[in-house]
Amino acid sequence: MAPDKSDVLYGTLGLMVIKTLEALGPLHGYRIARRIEQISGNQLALNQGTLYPALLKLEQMGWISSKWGKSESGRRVRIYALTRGGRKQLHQEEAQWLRAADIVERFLKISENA
Amino acid sequence: MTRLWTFLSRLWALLRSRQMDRDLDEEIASHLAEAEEEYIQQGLSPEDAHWAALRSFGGVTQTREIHRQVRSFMWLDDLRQDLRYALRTLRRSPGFTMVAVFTLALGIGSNATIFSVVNAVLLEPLPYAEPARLVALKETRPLAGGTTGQRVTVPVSAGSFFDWRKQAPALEQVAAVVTLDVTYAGGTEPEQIGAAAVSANLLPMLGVAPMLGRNFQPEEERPNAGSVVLLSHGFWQRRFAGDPSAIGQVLTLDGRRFTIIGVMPPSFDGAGSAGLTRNAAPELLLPLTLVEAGASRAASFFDVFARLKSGATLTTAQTQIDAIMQRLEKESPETNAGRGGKVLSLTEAIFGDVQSTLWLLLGAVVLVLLIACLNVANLLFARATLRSAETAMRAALGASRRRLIQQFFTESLVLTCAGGAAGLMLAWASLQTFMSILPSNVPRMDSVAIDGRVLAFTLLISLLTGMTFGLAPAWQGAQTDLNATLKAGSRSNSGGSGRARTRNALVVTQVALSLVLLMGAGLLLNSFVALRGVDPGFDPRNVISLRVNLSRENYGTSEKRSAYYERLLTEVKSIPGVESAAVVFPVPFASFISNQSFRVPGRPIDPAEQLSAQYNVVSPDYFRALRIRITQGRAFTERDRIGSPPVAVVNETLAQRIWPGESPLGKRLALGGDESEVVGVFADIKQRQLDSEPRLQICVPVSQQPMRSMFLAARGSWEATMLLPAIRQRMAALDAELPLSDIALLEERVAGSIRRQRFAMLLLAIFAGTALALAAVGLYGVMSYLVAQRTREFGLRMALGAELRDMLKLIVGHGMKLVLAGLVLGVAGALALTKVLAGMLFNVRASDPATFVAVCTLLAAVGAMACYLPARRAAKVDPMVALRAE
Repeated sequence: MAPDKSDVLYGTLGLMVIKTLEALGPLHGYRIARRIEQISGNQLALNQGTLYPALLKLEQMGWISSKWGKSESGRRVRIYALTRGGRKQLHQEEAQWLRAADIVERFLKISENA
Repeated sequence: MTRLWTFLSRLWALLRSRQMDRDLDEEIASHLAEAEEEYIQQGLSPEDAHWAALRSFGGVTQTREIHRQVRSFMWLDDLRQDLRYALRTLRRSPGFTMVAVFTLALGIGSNATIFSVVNAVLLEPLPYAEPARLVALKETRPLAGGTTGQRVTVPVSAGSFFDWRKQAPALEQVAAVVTLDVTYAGGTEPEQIGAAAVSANLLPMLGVAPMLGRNFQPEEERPNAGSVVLLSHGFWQRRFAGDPSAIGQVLTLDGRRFTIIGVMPPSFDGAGSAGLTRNAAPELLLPLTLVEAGASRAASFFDVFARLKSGATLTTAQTQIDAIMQRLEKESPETNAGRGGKVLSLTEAIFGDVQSTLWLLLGAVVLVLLIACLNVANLLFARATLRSAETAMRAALGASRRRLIQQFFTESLVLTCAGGAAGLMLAWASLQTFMSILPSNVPRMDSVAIDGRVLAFTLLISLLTGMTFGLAPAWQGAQTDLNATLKAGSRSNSGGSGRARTRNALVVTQVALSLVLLMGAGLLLNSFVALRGVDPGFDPRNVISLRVNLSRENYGTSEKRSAYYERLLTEVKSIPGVESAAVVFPVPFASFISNQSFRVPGRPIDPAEQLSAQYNVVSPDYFRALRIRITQGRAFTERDRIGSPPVAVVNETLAQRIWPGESPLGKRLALGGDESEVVGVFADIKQRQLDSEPRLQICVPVSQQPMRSMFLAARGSWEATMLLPAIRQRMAALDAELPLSDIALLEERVAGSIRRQRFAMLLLAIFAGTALALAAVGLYGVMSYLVAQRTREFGLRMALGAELRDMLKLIVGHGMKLVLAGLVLGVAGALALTKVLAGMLFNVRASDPATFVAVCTLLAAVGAMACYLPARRAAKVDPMVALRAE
């Protein structure tokens, strides 16, 4: 594994997916994968395949919904959209993440100062 | 909320798993196509783009696998896979599957059959409020005419009933029931209807209320209160077509008019009131007339039931009843000497008799099931060995041990479920036959059916069975040593000595269990044969008997009744084919006997020993018609009439007991008020049970004691049932309004008395036979397998000059060692277990050596046969073929 690329943190893939859907509206799988790769500036080694079990899990949680539709190139694809429950979840998780990140950041700064 | 949603969507996914597989495949395909397109736009060649897309996607198969895991319940998916696999393998070996399923069907089916009876008869709670607090009360007294100091329970006298009602604080309500037959003249022919006279508090005590109308009022217990009647639901439906306006109408019973005041609920019909009365189910309820002043302590004919106060126990009630009876014995020794009282739970009172038989049979079928399990376990062991190569291969390909066990286990479960289903069908089919041999007096037997509880029970034992016999082979199958098995390749492997030991142990256990069952069946069979061989003291063949009830109005006096019986006998004797005819009450082996206490004039009364005898009122030809031997003196004649000196004929036991060493002729007996002269002695007869001890018996002439109800007994020169139409016709000509009831051949009555023994014996024999067959199949299977395993060795031996005889000896010897071990174990087990039979045996000891020898010989012979067949096959093998076979 390349040292400069990190694995997708466990549990964060779902967050990235719903954030993506919130930002861009309904998307199909490939677009979601590409978007996550672009946002992370290719810092993440995402096996695009792992996206699909993650999508399934989110759907089972009721946070996203899916239906068959057409891609820009006219292919039959499954299009995923955020549900209301998903939006709520996103806000919660966002807040949690920011708080956690904040704590970690402060902790790291203290360590540096010491 | 989220969790529920997840669960539901997984469940949904389970149902459309194929669709979801297809969806995912399509999604992946379009994903790859999109990616390829983008790579091509970036300037890659189509081929490079294809590979780049796949690379960035990662493993397609893994994605599918993970997707599947996320999608649904993993274990269910496995289970489905295992099920499919199990079905496939079982289909591939139909012989094995059929034998296993059939074996299991026998085991499970017999359990389902017996359980459905136990379920309906014993497990169903009584349909009353808080049945656990209900009790039945009996009186006990020394056995009538008994010679060995035994006690019997009898109904309760009116006197005791009133005392118990008032003086036993542990009893909240005490109710009495008297069973009677009434003549109902509302139909085309007068008919006898089963009825019961009950105290007004009976229904409230049981917690049962009339469905329509009202219950009896306490004042209706008084004599000459207006006559009222409650109808059973069935009677109401039949006679009044369920019309509510029946209430208030008048019913003529025994020539008296009764006003209908209510209808009982359907739950009180048939099985609902089982055990409260002596007839199958009362169709009519009448108020019981209760007069406390001067209530008799001598005659006892009340069936008494009570509800315990909450907190009171059987023991406290029993202590109180004992105290009352002890006091009564002191106060009035002339009636109460030797009498006691007994409190028993209502369930015990109703089911006491049947209970032991049914539990015994349930025990027997459990043994059968165990043997069936061992059999199938044995088959599975053999199969696991044969399939060890396959198992090893699957293990090598990465199947975990858990997964392998699960696979074997699924197969067992599929087998038992099939066996359970087949068993259920077997039970359903055999239940009819079963019911026809069930003794007719078993309470609630008409509600026996395969219901939800039976289904649940069958499912439960099927699963238990599957686990019992499935687990061990599964474990062993999964223990396979990979390397050894794979290296052995196609060479047959004997499965190791440990496995052989297990299988031998299974066969030994089977033989032992079958021996126990066979012993039980053998003992009951012996006992039954002994019982049937008992001489009742009369000849029951070709005698038809029926009951006549004379009405109160037309036959109010002794003269009228006497005259009727004389005319009846003259008419019946003139029917061609009637050899002799008599009237008697009660006829032997009717559903009741009549007892009479007596004194010997001139001898002091011994309060500790009240004399009482079985008592029959008979016409002169009674002894001739039933072929009872007169050993001294004479039978009655036409000259013994009302007005002539009272006479009696006694049996030999009474004569010897009362006048040992003297001639009884001319001696006197005080029966009730009169003193009768003994004019003859007859040989002892059995009155109700073939296995009873000799009792004291007294007969008096009907002309001097003409009762309202008598049995007519007519001996035909041939088939006595043929006489019935002629008898009916003559009787109708004499008095068309008299109802006939309780029509039966004397032979049927005698056979009926041993129906329960016959039932237990027959069923145990069937189960023991099944067990024997299963054990034989098991032994045969093991021997065949052994022979197949050692074909090469046998071929070699033959090639080296072994004789056919040697081969047979070798193989049969091996098998018989197992049989012998089983016999030894089985005899030990049988000696311990047949003790529970002791109470059911007649003239046979539970450790009867002859039965043991016979059963062991039978088992050994069957065992030898089961070994011989495969042995002969082995010995017939061409040595060259056997040697090349590897």
